Amino acid sequence: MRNNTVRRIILSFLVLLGLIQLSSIPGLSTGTDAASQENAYELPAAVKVELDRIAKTYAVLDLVAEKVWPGWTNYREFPFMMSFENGLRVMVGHPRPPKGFTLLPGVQTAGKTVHVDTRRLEPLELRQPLSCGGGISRLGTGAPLQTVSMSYRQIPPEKEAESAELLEENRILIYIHELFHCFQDKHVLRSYPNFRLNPDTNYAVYSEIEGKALENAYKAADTEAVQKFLQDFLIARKLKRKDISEFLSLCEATDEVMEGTAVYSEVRTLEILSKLQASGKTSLEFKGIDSLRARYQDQLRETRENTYSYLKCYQYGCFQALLLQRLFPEWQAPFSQKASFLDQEIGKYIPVEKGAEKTITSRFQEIYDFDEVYARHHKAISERDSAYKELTSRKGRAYIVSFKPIRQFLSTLPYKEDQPYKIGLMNIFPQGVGNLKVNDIEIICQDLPTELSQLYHLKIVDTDWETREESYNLTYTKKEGEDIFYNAVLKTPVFTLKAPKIRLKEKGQRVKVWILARVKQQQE
Amino acid sequence: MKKISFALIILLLLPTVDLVLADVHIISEATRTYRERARNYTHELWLTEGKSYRKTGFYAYITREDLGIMWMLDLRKKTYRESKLEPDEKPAPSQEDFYTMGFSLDPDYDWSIKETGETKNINGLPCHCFMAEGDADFSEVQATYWICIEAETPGGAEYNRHLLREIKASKDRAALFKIMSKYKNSFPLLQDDTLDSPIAREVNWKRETTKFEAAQPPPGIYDLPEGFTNAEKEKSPKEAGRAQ
Repeated sequence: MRNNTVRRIILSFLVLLGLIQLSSIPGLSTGTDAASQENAYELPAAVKVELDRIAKTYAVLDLVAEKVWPGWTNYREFPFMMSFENGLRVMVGHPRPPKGFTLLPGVQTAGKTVHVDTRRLEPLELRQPLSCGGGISRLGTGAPLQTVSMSYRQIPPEKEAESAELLEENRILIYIHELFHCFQDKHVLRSYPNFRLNPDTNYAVYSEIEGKALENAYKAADTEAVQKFLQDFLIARKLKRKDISEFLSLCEATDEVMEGTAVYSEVRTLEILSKLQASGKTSLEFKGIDSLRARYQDQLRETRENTYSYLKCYQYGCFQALLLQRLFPEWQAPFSQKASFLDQEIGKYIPVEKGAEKTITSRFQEIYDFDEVYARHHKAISERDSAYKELTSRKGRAYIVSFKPIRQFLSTLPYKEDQPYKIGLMNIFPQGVGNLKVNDIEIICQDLPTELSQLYHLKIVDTDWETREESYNLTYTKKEGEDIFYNAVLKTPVFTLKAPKIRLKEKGQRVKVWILARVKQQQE
Repeated sequence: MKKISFALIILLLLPTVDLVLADVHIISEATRTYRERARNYTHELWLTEGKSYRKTGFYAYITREDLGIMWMLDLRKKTYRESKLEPDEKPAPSQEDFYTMGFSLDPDYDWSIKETGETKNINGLPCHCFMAEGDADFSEVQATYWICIEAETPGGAEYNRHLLREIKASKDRAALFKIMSKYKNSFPLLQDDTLDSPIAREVNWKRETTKFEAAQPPPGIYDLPEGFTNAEKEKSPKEAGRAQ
């Protein structure tokens, strides 16, 4: 490691000397300076693995894309932006990357250029296996381009073995999912904002019945049975939405189209690959297809039982699309044209007759174990509401830790309770979260009601604040400006925080801490 | 001698008279910076009693207090949408909807507002510097405003009223609302505010008023332009399908 650093410094120095020489030649552009300096940067092996997976994704899509959705041919057009925990950003195949990116000469994946942004690098080793999540952004200088934007996280050591299984195949499916979102832009229209909802008992109960009905329909062997279960689904949906606004219903239906068809593209990829492999029409290696396909049914089952989840659109949308594909194989082209919703399509093909609602609701008792489902969700909702009430009734001095500067999602850290109560983007832990640890950051929390909120923030309220002489005790090795501290140990009545670099501010009844670095720098 | 003095006074007052008789014409340049990407906008504003016309890029907004409505014009498509004008007073805090609560935070900030004592002339108008810091659990706002607080500035009353109406619901600009409510007929010439919201990256807005003058507006500027059609009634079958 140390040898590498020395080599990099010497190389950078030589590159710099070379640049000084070159810049003295009249007429020679200095536009390549930045690019040449980046020559010294070598992509970590863990990143090269991801570049390779993008190339493999294209190879898979070359085989299946047009069979997944008619007209899906544009998957090579969209750049990838990859963000890593050490601050490295890599842009693949972008003709005009944003400010701060420089070309890596000689590095390509699937014939696409690779640019890097190393301005915010931290000395954190990147190694596989990495987990990742993604979305679509519009990035670039000049007119921005639709870009697949992925963030990669280190998998905690205790979960490494479990996550390593079929990691590459899973990653390719995630890339396919995101590329399908890019295709949707012009082919599957979206007209409402993201669906967000705090479920009540009614919503949770009928939502589970919807999920069970979709599962039953998917497993049913004959068409008549499939249609009956889909009618159950439509009636459960109607009853689920009876108290929520039309706007929210439309948001939910939109999300099912957007996320559901993207998950559908994953499943269809596996189905088509499976057929191609079985018939010997491809030599492309793609492991564990059956086991991967089974996971989607597992996810449907887990999701439908989750009282607090409003994000069932991924699985529910996917299975609606799969059932449409099974019953009406020509459904996609007209669906793209009309920009309909999946449940509307099912309703159009499988209408529910007037008066059938009564018969179907009696099926909910017989087939779906309605009373048990109701009792379970009612209990969970009551517990959630009590936890929320208790948390928000705590008055005093608030201690808030923000992981936003290092973009660390708190939900990805292992904490004491597996199932927090959720209201909006607030995760409530009535008994506290225990200890949180990531890289060189550690928070040892008291067993007090705690909130992990808005993805990046931890908040605990000290109700005994009036009895304290000091709101905190801080030790550190170096101070920068008024409020930045290195190698800080912050002891408060509600937690002890150890972090390589923080910003600290106390104002009124708030003590706020921003985590500014993941790892200790040697010189600090 | 008396006649000469009177003529001089008239000459000195002429520009003011002009401003009183004409409409207020304001041009501002704004830059929004998000994720290292800066976007520039030019806003043009015409104001007269109870009426306004604001143009930004391909959109224009006309408010008509006499009719109680606002038109939003799409200048490229030549369409408009009509909505009701909200009353001038600040809206009462709405009851939180349980179904949607906690998803997007628009918090009430605790504000520290300080007049720094610095002054400077911007476009010939004397401005005072105010610094504001807004603090909430998971977000923060930092702002610097250069504000003309001369109550008698011609056009100030109209601009003050227009801006107060425009920003009254913006919690992250509540400091500007407070300052402008405190100083009669005041208005900002330079604004620089940075919002660090709970999830998104920092957004910085810089707004500078580059022209503040009295002028005759183009004829009919406060009326719905000819040839514009109602976008709500002109939905294409595809759009109609999407909104089902």
